[in-house]
Amino acid sequence: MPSEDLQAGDLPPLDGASTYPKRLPSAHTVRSAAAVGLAYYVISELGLSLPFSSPPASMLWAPNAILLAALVLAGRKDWWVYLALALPAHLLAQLPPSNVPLAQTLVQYAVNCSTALIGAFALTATAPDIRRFNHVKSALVLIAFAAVLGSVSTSVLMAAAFVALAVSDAFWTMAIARTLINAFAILTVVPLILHAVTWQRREGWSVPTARSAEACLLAVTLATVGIMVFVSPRPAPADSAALIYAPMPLLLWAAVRFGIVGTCGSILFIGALAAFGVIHGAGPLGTQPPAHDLLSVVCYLVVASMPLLLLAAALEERDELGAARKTSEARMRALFENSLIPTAIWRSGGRIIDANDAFLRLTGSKRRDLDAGRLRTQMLDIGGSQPLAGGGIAQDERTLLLYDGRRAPVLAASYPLPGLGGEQVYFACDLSDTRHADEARRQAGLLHAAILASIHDQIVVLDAHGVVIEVNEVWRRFERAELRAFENARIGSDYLQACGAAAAAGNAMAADVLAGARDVLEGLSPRRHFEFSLDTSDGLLWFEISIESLRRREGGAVIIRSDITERKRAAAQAGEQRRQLALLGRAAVLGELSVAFAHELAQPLTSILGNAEAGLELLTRGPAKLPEVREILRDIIADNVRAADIIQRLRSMLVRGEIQRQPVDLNDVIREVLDLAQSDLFTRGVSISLRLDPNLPEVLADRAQLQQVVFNLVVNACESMSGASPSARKLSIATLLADDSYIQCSLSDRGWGIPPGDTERIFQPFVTTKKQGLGLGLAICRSLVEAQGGKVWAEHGADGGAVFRFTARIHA
Amino acid sequence: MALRRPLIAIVDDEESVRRALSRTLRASRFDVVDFASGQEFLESIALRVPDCLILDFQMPGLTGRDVQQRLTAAKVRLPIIVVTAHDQPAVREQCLADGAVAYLAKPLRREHLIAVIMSALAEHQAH
Repeated sequence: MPSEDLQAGDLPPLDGASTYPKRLPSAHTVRSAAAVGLAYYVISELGLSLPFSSPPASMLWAPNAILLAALVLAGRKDWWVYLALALPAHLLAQLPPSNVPLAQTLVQYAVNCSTALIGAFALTATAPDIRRFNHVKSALVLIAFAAVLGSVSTSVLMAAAFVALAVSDAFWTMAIARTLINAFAILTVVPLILHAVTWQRREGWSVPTARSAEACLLAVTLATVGIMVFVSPRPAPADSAALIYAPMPLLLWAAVRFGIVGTCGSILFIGALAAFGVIHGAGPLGTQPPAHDLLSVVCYLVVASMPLLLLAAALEERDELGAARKTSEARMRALFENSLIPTAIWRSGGRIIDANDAFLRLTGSKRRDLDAGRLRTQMLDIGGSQPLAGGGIAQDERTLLLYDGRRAPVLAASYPLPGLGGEQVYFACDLSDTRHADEARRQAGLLHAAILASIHDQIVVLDAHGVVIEVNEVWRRFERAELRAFENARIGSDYLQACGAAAAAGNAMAADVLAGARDVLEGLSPRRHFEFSLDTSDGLLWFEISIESLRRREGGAVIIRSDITERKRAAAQAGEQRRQLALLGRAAVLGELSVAFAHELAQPLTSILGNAEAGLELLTRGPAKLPEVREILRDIIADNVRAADIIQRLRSMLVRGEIQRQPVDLNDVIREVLDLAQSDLFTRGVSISLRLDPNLPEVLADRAQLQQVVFNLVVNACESMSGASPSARKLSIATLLADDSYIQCSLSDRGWGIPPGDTERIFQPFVTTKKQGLGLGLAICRSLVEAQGGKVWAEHGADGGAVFRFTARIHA
Repeated sequence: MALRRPLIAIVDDEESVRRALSRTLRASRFDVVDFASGQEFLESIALRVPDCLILDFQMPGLTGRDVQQRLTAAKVRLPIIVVTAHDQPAVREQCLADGAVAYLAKPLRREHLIAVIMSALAEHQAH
């Protein structure tokens, strides 16, 4: 009968009282207990129905065994349920119509329960696997405690109680009879019930045909012998007593071949036949009353069953151990064969007798060489020619000589195997990859250190919490007193804390760095940038601090501090140079413009002077014709206005002051400059070709400076074409949209061009390709263009000559 | 019979200059005819050759020098006074070498211009 715990697929706990909380029994437990009670009742009725009710013990009394088996299967916490439900079954079986006195019935119930409890307690407390009695220990406990101790003690108590209650005065007969009957039932029925329950829970088991046939043969033989001995007509008494031993070889067969089940089943079967024979006056005995004959047979079977059960248990245990050993060996073999650790076993002479695939792969040797016994430790230079001395595992790094002559670094260990063969097992972990990885890591580390050491900037790397995890040598060296308050970073120090302390002390730079580092570390900003200056004994020093997020999953930040003092000085010098160039440029432009303006101004001045002198002459000679004088004066005024315009234009080009950027139409600027340079162009015989994109947006520039740029480039082009034939003196000026941000203007001439490799050099101040000139024009152009956010450069023209291009930023 | 007033031709692309010079010369009792381009002037000499030519050197189309060379090529002899707003020594030498009687830089003083014209006319008549 399955118990609740066995349904759960596990053994019931042996100390359930302390493991389980107290609670009401489950419905399943109650059902199981009820089933046990029913079985108890049925078996009791069966026992009572058999003859030999006197002495007051049945010839086959199995209820106690059933109760014992049930208790073994159930948890201890539920034992009381089984015992409680056995009571009504017992009463039902013993009270009317049996008419057994109630006191006797209760005594019987008490001793039955005691028998079961003693056996169950002993079994669950001492035997780890009580389900099958397939270990000598559990079989021994069954025999000693359940069968012998339990039966003897309770039977004696029962006999004493019966004597006291005057149920019977045959104390010893009762005690012995009950002891034997109960012991017989416990030794045969309990193992069968437990095996039956175990098999019921087992899935997919099957019995080989040969074994089934053997079992059938045993059964038939046993039945034949049993019937012949115990059921067939009784032979002469003198010859018959020894026949009860006839089944012994068969019982031995059952024990050897069919274990506990075969043994118990066979003994129970023989017992049943013997009982049948005794009831019917058959069998080898008959010299005593039938009840005594029966007890003799039971006694014989009880005594015989004990060694048989122990034998069967011992054989099953041996088989189980054998199977376990085979499994273990197979498992170890599989581990050996499939282990990634190269492993070999050799004998003291150095011959390798076994090795796994990993070892063969490592050494480059072949399995056929191994099988042929040709592999030797000496060939591999494994620890010299001798195995490692001493016990335990000794491991060290060695170099293994491979079969192809190469050597491989290994971490080797040698271990003497148990036994007398002097065998050693050898493990070798190939360290080649590890060494390569170590070397790669070392190289990477060296490279990392070299890079950090080669960078002139000072670098500190922080982890996500602001703790310094890397600092380069330049930073370490840079320990000015002004910075030490918070910049003295060391690996492991808390940079943020140092910054915070310095900021609290009033260091504004530390406060900026702290805020920036926190922003970057918290992911609020990918980078922060600061510049600060320090007034030191070496003068004013400028530094730039960049805080960049460290691009790794764990987070962090890189702080780069650069000394930008030189850059600042250079920028200041460049600015000053630009200002100087601008001044020089104005002077140079003035020189160039003076020629153009001289011509421009000469025209109105000629008209003004001529008109004025004509008018004066008219007035001198007599009455002036007023209309004519009026016309003369109008002309004078008009020419004067024209002259003033020219002067204004000159002033606009030469005006000094800060850059005033405003939206400017570059095409207009080009046209203005060409108007201005018209006479110069004429004089030089230069013709202009314009390709100005009319749809260009305005650029943001200082108009006067843009005029200077165009003027300089036009004059430069004209001068470069001074040696060309008149027909070749052509200057093409074009504008176009360079991209979304810039307009490009190009001036292509047919002049003498630019010497190879000088397209950049000609923009340097005082570098010129002309016989005359300061070499400032292009330098000024570059200065002016770059001051307004554009670029200017030169190219070699496709048809000779040069192409100058500059860009101007579009007014957004 | 009254003496014929010398006819002075003025060639200049600037109208204001032509008008001012014309007024000045007429006030000095010269007959004046003016042209806006060298081409117009060259076409006019088929009808009448002036007594003196005041020729602007720097003009679009035919330059003063072109006119001077065409007159030489056509063997038209008349005194030519080159005037220019772009006074350059090289140009001066070139013009004089090509036969100009004078090379004057603008602006022109009346007295100086009249003197040069008179001198040129006298020299031309002497030949």
